[in-house]
Amino acid sequence: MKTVLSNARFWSAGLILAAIGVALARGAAAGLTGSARVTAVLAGEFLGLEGLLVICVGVSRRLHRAPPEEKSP
Amino acid sequence: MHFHDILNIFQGLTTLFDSSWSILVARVGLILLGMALVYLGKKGILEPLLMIPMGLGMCAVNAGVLFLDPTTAAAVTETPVAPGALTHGTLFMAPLVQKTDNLMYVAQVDFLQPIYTFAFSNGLIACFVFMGIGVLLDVGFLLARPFLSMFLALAAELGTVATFPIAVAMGLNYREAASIAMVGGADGPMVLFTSLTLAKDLFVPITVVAYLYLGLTYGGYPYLIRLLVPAKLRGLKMPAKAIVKVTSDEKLTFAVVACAVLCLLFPSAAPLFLSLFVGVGVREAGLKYFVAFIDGPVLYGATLFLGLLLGVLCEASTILNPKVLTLLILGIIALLLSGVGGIVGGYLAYFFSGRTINPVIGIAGVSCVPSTAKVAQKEVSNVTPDAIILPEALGANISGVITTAILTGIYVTLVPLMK
Repeated sequence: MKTVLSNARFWSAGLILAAIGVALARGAAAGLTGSARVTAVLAGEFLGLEGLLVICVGVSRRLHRAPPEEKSP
Repeated sequence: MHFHDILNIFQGLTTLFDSSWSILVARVGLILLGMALVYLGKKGILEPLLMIPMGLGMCAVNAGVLFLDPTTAAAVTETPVAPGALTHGTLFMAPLVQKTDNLMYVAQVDFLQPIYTFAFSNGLIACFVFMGIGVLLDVGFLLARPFLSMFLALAAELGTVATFPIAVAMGLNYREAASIAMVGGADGPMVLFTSLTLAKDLFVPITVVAYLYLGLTYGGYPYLIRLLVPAKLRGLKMPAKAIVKVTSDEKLTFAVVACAVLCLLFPSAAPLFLSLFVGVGVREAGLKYFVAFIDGPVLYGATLFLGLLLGVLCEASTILNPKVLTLLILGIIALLLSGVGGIVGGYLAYFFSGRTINPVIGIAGVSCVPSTAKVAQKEVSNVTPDAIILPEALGANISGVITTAILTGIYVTLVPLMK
């Protein structure tokens, strides 16, 4: 888990963003009706997916920063 | 012995001539189509793992029609049947039976009914296939190049998105339109799942159309690539990159987080997400016996019964639906638009990367794993044999599976809200 913990910033940021998205899509949207509800659901889903993307970006950045001995030809 | 007693010995033929003209022609046509599917599967033009059992099932169910006894006929039709009445049916399965008592009776008579009721119509077989896909996936390709992979996957969902309004304009309701639009995602289990959830009346023709066309993508997409990408660009060598290892800890953690987040966002599609990430998780945790089990008996067993059930569902009276022609047209539109969208995405990546990315990898965003990635590599290798684009193509391919699953969740969640 060293590689995950070494990238804790991105994992945390992604999780927080995803949690906000889930709260918006499943929590806040439930109290709305009509187009407001659809908008809230879509916005929440977008944020949730962005959270996963942040995690992927974090892993990708770690790979680019990796020292040469971690890379294989 | 009277002549009609002799006729009753060969009831498959007797019922043929006892039917209306449309059913007679449909039954004969489907028998011949089944034989054609077996031939095309054997030749490798269509996917043999599905087409062989599907073709045989299609032949058998349309040939093996008989006169049901009154008790069985009453259970199958779910209406009282007079003692002397002649009801056509088969001993394979009765997909339209709903009431529990009738289902229990039919399950003891029709040999495929238990598998249909307890594994197919509830989406379990689709989830087993998805588990197998998860075991085959290496999400490291997605984690290594997230922006490129996600962008190409989104571009390749053009068919899934654009076909929805086209289908509505052609007269389908929102649920049916969403179900046929999912063909653009080029993922059979998700088409099955969506149509079972949203358009149960049409899930047979939608799923059959989807699997037939998906078998054709391997043969058809190379022509699309050659039409849209000139040879000079097809053979573009991408800059060589050192392979950097994404650790299994990262992949496993990502699988757990993604599963939880996606299930929270799209609980209607949670079975699919769980199935996919169970496969990924088992692979990344190094559970080799589970990997062997899912990659072997589960995946191939599910594929066998999926093909068999799809074929047996193609009984003339079930599949004859005025909307089938519309579905055939929309299915090809969806897959075509997805392929075009993927290649357009590839071109955009080519330009924005300073002309270093081969635009052919865009086709790999269509989530037929790993067929479209292999198609992309093959087309590139045909022009420049030492050009390797497979890692980038696989990243887009895997991302395509996840984005299609997300679109499934979106359709299944939002379409029921639409009036």
